[in-house]
Amino acid sequence: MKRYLILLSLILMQSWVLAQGKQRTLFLNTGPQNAWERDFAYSPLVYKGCAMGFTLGYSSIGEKKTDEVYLHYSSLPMQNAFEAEMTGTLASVITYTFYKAAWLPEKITIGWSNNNALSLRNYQDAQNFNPRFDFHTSFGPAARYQTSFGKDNQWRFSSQAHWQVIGFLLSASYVTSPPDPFLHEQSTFNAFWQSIRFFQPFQQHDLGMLNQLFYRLSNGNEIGIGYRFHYTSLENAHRAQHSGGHYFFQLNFQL
Amino acid sequence: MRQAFSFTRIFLFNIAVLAMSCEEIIEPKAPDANPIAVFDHLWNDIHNRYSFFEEKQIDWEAKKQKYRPLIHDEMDPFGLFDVLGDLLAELEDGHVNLLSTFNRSRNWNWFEDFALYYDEQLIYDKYLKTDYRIIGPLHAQTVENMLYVNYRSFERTLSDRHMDEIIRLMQFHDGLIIDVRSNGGGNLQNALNIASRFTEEEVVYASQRFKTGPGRSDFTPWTPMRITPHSGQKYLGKVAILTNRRSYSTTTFFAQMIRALPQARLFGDRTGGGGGIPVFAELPNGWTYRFSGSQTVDLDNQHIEFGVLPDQLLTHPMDLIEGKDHFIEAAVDWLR
Repeated sequence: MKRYLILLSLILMQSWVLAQGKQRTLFLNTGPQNAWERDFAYSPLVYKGCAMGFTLGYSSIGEKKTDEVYLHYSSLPMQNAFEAEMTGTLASVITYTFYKAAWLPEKITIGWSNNNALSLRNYQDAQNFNPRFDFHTSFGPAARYQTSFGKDNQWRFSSQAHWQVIGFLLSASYVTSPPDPFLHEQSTFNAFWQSIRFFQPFQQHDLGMLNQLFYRLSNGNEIGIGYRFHYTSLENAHRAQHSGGHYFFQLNFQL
Repeated sequence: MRQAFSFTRIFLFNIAVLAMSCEEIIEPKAPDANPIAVFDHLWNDIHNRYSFFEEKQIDWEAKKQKYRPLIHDEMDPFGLFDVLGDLLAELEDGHVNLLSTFNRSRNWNWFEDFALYYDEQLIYDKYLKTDYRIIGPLHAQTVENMLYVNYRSFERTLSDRHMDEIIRLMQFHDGLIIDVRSNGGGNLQNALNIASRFTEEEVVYASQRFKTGPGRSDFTPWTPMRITPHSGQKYLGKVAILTNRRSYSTTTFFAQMIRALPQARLFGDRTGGGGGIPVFAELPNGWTYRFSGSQTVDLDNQHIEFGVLPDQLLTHPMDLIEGKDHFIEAAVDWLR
């Protein structure tokens, strides 16, 4: 726990240093998250469930560039159609960088995103090689539409989407939880490098969308609601798919 | 101006509403769960991931020809279960089962046709009696100044403190007998917790490899399996281990660990095997199954799937002793 707090502090500190002279916002959100998962190594059946999801985020808005980072976590009890149970844990760090382009309408920005996502699947009926997992870090284009409205422009709506096209992935093996290179004797470093696979465009899929509506308070902070959607399909030893929709209430604090 | 503003708001609202529940819209359809689809799913997964086809000389394609014609769309779940259970039984593997809400298929050939040489009533009446010690999952008693320890299942957790007590008791005994007859296995760590008390240096006792693909030779490289010495108190005197045909899975691994220790000796019958670690999976109709997904060989490259031979085989009728457990008696004789 201490290590995670130190890591979080470093990320926030780095973001703060990079964002000097910009409008900086810290945000927190929580709300119900629907998700489904399917890992063909264990079952062709879909497992789905709902639980609370949490996101901590930070944004730095400059004149021509906006940087955002979202740390998301959820752990969901899931069931298949036959009431078999699985606990699905989803954790991700996703960053967006948006630029204002002169040739685009003022309300639209484009850029790129980086998604680092971990999915753990703990099947209740599997006594060995549990949980199965996949992790990927990937990059791809992102776009955002943002508009303000209301008497004093106190309402703000934004909709952004990303599509990951290239990167790397690491996942459970053909029959076991750890990737194959971890099953025979060699250094952890070598095993790690041998386990990494290329995130190939059109073979691996990761895309997401984030819609948010905010109301600005008199002190400059914002309250809002939103919906975050993601879909991931990764092919390694077997194909694993998961998707989720997070409906949340969010607080934005100006720093 | 006001009209344009209203239009924008309506447009944004519609976009936001339409974007909701995307995860439900793209949720995949349930797979076909008719009997033929279920049969094909099971046959294919076993074909691709089962680890002992070559060692057991099983023609899996021929099994498909034999059993698939028995499957038809109108058959009830009980009939389908019986056919799938028979298909899996062809693998002759105790780590292969089909599990539904109404039954669990199994193949117990690995012990059913053999005498077990384990009479629990006799052991409790004559050796453990009523004042035996209960040390976690272990039942322990002094037998002719040897410590006799009976371990019924490796599924029951054996902690360091339990083993500390066994090691402490060995100060007052001349030798140790561990009886794992008819122990069907469990957690390998429990076996290592025992064996790690009997050595002062790391010992390689077997090698293991896992399936990595559908090909018959798609495996990881062989990896040594080791006993790492425990950092605390150890017992380095003579140890006798008793096994029979129903000593299966982790108990077979334990027997192999003991064979690799110079001061330990196996007594009784060949273990039942179970050298492949079971992998669990699920069928489109919700039934679950498991199958071996790895191989383990001993130090002579023999598959322990077919059991571990004892150092002293005690299955000859002449070995039997009326009114006594001849496995325990043989162990006591050796420890003296």
